[in-house]
Amino acid sequence: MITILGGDLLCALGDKATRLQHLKNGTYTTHIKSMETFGEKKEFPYYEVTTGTKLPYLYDPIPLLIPIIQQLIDNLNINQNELSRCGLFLGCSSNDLSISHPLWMHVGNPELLPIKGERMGNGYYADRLIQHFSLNRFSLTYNTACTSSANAMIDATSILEVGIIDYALIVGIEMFAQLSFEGFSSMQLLALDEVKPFDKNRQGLVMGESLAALFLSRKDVRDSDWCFKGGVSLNETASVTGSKEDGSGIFEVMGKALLESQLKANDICVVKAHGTGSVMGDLSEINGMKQLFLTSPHFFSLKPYIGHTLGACGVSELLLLMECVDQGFIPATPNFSTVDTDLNWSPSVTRESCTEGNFLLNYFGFGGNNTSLVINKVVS
Amino acid sequence: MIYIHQVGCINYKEDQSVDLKAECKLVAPKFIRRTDDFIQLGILGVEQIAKKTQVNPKTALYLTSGQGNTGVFMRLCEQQLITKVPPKPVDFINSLSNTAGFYISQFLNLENKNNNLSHRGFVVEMGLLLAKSELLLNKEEWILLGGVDQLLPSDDFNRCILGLDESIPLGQGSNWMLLNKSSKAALARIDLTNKELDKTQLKTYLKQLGYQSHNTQLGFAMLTDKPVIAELLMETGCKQFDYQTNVGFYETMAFYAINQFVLNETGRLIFIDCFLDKYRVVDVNVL
Repeated sequence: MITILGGDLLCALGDKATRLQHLKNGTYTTHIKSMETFGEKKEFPYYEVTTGTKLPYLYDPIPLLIPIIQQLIDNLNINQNELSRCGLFLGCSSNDLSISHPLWMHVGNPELLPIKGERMGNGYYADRLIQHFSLNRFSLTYNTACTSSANAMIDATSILEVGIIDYALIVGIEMFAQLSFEGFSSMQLLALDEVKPFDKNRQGLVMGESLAALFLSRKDVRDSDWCFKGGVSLNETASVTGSKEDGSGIFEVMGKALLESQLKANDICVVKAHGTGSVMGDLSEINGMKQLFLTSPHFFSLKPYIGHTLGACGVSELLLLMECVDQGFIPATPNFSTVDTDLNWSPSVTRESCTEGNFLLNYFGFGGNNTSLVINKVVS
Repeated sequence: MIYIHQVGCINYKEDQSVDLKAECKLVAPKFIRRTDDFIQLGILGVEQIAKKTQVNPKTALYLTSGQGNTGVFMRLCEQQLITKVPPKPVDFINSLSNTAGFYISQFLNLENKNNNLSHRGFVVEMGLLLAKSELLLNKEEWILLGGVDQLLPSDDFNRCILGLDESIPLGQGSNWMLLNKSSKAALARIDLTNKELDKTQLKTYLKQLGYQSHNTQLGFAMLTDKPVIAELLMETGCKQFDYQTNVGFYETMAFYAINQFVLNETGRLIFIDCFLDKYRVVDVNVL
C-alpha cells in the first residue's frame, strides 16, 4: 500500500491559510498577460505564483522549491538516512530552463553560446534537487504534457512497490513559458475573460503557474491517513490534441484506475475533474463519466482557482484536494452558471462537507495522454 | 530479471548525410505530414522492430531522451525571435516531447501508456529500472523501451548543451528494445540494479557479478576515460566490446551498444555507462 505523506505548493492562491480561505469562499485572483503578435496586442487572464515578491519574467524554480521541500522534510521528520532512500520524480510540460533558455538566447544571437562546460537538458532540475537534499540517485523527469506529474506519481508507486526506494518525492513544475502561451493562443484555446469549466459559455482555458512537491512512501515504512489506491495512464491515438468526443478513452482510463484500486464507481465519493473549460475537453470528460457512473457523481474543477498548471496540475490539484478534505470540505466550482445541454451534468457549485472517502482524479493532455488516479482518506 | 524479445537500431554519425523525412516516407508514408525529424527518427527506430515482429497493441511505450524534441523548440524560437510569426500549431504540439510517442503509438497501433522520460546522465538505466519494475509487478506485459536523440542544426549549440568539445564526434539515433518478463523465445536476458558507483565501488561490483572472462565482453560508454577502460579490461581479463566504429555521441547510445551486442554477438555483455566519474552497469546475456 502506497501512503501519501503530505506536500505543499506555490500557486496563485498564496500560502496555505490564504488558499484554504479562497477554496472555502470560491474566490481567486488572476493577472493579465499581454502578448504581441503581428503588431496586435492581446491580453489574457493568467494565474501567477504568489510569493510575496514579484518574480522576474523568467525565474529559476529550484530556489523557490528548496524551502518548500525543506519545510516538508522538517514537518514529516524525514531524516538523512531516509532521504537517501527517497527517489525523485519530476513532471513538467515544457523543456527544462537549463536547455530552453540557452536555446532561446542562442537563436536570438547565434554568437552567444552559454557554455557551462557541463551537460544540460531535461533532468537538470531534478539533479539539482537530488544534490541539494542528498536524495537517492534514482530519478526520472516526465514530459507528458498536462499529465506529466500525475504520470510521475504513478511510476513512483511502482518503484516504491518493488523496494528500489522507500520514499518518493514527486515534484510538479510549471512556470510562465512564452512559447506555450503563444502556442495555446495560436490554437485559440485560451479564454479571454475567465475559465468556466463545464459551463455552456465556456471559452477555453486560462493558464497558471505552480511549483508543487509531495512525499509518498509505503505503508510498511510510513503510515498515513491518505493512501494512493491506484493510477492508470493510457494513450489515445485518435487525435494528438485531445480525447475522443464520445469519451470512450476517458471512460477506459477511469475504469482501469478503479479496477486497479479494486473499487467500483459507486465507491467514489468525489471526482476531481480535469475540467479545463475547453469546449471539447469538457464534453469528452462528461461523456466518459456518463459511461462510468449511472448518475452524476459529485464532481468539481480546480482550474478556476489556480488555472491550468499543465505538467504541474497532477501534484498541485491532488494537494489542493487533500488540503480541502483535511479541512472537512470539497470546494465549489467557481464561474459555473449555465448548464450546457450537450453535457447535462453540472459540477458542484456550492462547498460540500467531506472528511474522508475515495477520490477519483482526472488528468488529460496533448499527445493522447489520459491519466486517472484514485486516492483515499480514512480518518484515523 | 527481464528479457529482450526484439531490438531495433537506427544510428547516424554527424558526417552522414541523411534525409529523415525521405527515409520515413519509405516505411511510414502517412506519418510525414505533421511530424518532424525527432518524431521521424523515433518511427524509423521502432519500424526496425515492427518489420520483424507483430507488436502487441497492449504494449506500453517508454521513450527516453537526453534532450527531447529540441529541434522543433529551436524552430519555434526562430519563429518568435527572427521571423516574428506566431508558432504554428503543429510545431507547438510537436514541441511537447510526448507527441513523438503519440505518433509512434499510432504507427504501431498501440493503445497503452505513452511515457516520455529524461534523466541527467543515466536515462537508459532509469528507463530500464522502471521497465523492470513494471514487468515484475505485472503492471505491464510488454514494454517497448527506447531512446531517441537527434542532432541539432547548430553543431556549436549541440556541443554546448552536451558539455562536449570538438574532439568527440556527435551522432543521432533511435534504438529500441521490446521487453517482457518471460524468457520464452527471448533474444537476451537483461538485468541491472539501482547502483551508481565510483570507480572503486565499480571494481568490487564487477567482481561480485561472477563473470567468466572467456565469454564476457565489457562495453563502455563513449565518454569513459581511456585509462579507466584499460584498467578494468586488465583487471577482469575480458575483451572490450567494440561498437563505436560507426557511432557519434548521443545520450541514449547505450541502447545502441546493447542492441548491437544482442544482434551480433554471443555470450555476455557487461555494459558500463559513465557520467561525471560515476558508473552504472547493465548486464546482458544473449540466449
